[in-house]
Amino acid sequence: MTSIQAEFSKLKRSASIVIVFLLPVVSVVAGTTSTLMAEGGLEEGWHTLWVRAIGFYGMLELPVGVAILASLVWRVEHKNNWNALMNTKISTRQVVLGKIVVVGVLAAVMQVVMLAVVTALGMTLGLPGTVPVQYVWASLIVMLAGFPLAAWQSALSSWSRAFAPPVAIALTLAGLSVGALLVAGRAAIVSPYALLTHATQFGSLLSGGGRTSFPPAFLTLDGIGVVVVTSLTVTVLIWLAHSAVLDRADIRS
Amino acid sequence: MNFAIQTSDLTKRYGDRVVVDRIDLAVPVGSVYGFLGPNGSGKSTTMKMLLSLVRPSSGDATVLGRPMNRQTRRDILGEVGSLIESPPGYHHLTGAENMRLIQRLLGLDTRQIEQAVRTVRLQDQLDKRVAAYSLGMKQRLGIAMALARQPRLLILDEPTNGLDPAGVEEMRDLLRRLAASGITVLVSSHQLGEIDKCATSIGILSRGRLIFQGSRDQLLAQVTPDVVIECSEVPLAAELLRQQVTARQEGHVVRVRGADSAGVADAVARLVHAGIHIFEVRREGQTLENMFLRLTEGRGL
Repeated sequence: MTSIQAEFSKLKRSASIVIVFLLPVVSVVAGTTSTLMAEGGLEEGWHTLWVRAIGFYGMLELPVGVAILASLVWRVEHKNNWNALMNTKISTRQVVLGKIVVVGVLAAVMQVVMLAVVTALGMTLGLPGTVPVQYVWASLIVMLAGFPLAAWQSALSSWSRAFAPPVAIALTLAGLSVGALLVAGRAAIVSPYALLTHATQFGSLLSGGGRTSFPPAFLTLDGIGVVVVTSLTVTVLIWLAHSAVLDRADIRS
Repeated sequence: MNFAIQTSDLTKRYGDRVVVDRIDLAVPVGSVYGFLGPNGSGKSTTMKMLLSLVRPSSGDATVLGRPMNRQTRRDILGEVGSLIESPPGYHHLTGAENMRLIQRLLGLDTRQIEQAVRTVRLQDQLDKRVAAYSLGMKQRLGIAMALARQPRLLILDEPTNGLDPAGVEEMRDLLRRLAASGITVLVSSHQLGEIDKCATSIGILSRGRLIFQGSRDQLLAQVTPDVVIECSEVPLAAELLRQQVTARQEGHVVRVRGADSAGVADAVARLVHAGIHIFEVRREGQTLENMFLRLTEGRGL
């Protein structure tokens, strides 16, 4: 637990806070503007707003956001703290877990911000009531599904001393995973990128048939169960593998 | 004797390049061990192997009585403080925040933190961000972070690097105080004068090999200082002496290397016999710097 707390105290004055708030705002506003301009506008109210907001966000911006967060979190270690990080009695697994949790939680907060921005936007546009509860559930699933990607990007960022390569890898693999989702459907979620994108599709089916580019995910026991189990399994596997690799490798500095 | 660190045949190879070559380090408990050598001689790599940050290609290390390897390292490291290469510390946080981080991480109490900070005399600078620290302050913060866990062994890699003379003196004073409190300190430097005055043991590394290990006195005794002869007809004198000993002309004097007392008497007799006037014969004071130049074959430190 202590290494997790320690990771959070490193966030003070960190640029990651800016990312967490800025990215969803920009993404939601950009994603919905064209719809608002178009004829018909928010035909199905909150549902249309959500589908337009989540589409691009789940496909690219959220995965890339997680990559940026992981690079930011590791950057302070690469500067001059690797030796110190590896030179305490705290085990490598604890150190790696601390990073996964802090990136995962930041990504989860980003989803909360995204939900808040959609809610605020909908209310500003005069939509009745508030955001439907199914999107709150969907957001909870997204928050969980962010952890495997947090673990994976954290591993990449621990190896790359430079900031950009892990983000570029995220951009590429997120793109490929979108393709995999379209071709292979739910089987593609063994890729953490595809899993996260898939998770953003929960409840995103409009009654008029309008949707994002993906086969929608349904808030059923099966639909949720698969994502939960995959998220937990993949996170733990990456965590253990990353720790084992770090424990065997010579430190590079 | 008890040793805080012992290695046998410790070796690190990167491909064909041998960076550390079969060294047998023996750091006595309670000593300040000056680990000296030119840049690139393998000091940092050795220290990283002692901490198992880098795995030896062959040979092994015992630290605080236990074999140091990937399985045991985290256990042993609870009692070892270290500062390797650039000083650690999160630059976007203040000194106090950095210390709190260590406190939380290692489960230390506030008294331990305060004591470590006082030891390095950083108590008045804690509210500044580390980004605004001078290099000397960063070094001291790094040492405070290493000290806070109250280690039995402290491993410091070039802690005087980049410090001004006052900072170097302060670091020496700190090392002495740490040793007085019973901590074993292994400290590396490529500049001899910075460490030798407070080191109780010295090891010299050159091109990956440990070419000397022992006390300061043993080191001084190892190499006989040069004898300088001021005389008339210097070139002739030098030539005469060269037949018997290593001698060369150096300006207006002849410098004789490696001559013991009998050798000096012999040389003088020979010169006098040849009708050369002798004005002065003196043995040079031995400085460690000279010795290092010789031991490391002129590569300097």
